[in-house]
Amino acid sequence: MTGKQLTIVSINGPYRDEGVFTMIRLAHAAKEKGIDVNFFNYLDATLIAHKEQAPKEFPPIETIFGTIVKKGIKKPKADAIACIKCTDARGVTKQQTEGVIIGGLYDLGEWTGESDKTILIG
Amino acid sequence: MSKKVNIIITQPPYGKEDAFSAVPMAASQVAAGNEASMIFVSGGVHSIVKGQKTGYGDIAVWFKDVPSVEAEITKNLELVSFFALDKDISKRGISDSEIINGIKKISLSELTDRILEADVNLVF
Repeated sequence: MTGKQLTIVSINGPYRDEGVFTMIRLAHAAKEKGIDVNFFNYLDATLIAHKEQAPKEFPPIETIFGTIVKKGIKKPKADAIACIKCTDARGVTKQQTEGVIIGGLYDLGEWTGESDKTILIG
Repeated sequence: MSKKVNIIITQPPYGKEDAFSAVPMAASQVAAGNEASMIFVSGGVHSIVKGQKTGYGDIAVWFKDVPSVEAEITKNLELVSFFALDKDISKRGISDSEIINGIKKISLSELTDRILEADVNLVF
């Protein structure tokens, strides 16, 4: 374990472009290195963890994302917060996958203060 | 630990949600004990123009107007430091008198220094 912490802010929804897949690959690689990962899902990225996605052609983002978060109970940790204003706006507050907490921008501010690095993938 | 955070906006104010939603992100960084600056570059400089009017028409049809990025900036002028890239402002024909009071113009060299000095740079 490195004791290091990375916060990843996402703003794009899944499937339209490769950004979310890149974000998840990056997070997975960081965890492999023993780095704790915080996911802050903002704007359309709050759709990443929306339950019951069934893409016909692409890997199921919610399942992959949810697996990383669930495995993050142990070190290296992976926590996920979805912005409540964004989930409410999109009607997905109650349909977030297990492990995702509904929170707000203040949580991101705190994570930014605690983390070694904070990045935004758009 | 308090961090120095730059939020850089490259997107115009109303084509996407990015500019509007980045402002409360900056304000929340300050609320959480960090130091936040917002820097508007390229198409993002259209957000700093005074007198923005939003809405698509009849409220009976649209329920509410699209929120104004100008109002969001003005509300947070005391919390967040706002900057815009001078060359991108002039390239788009925006005069000094059209810029929201309290937003400072910076050069590309100054922007580079700010990016290097910051702990966190988030680009919308």
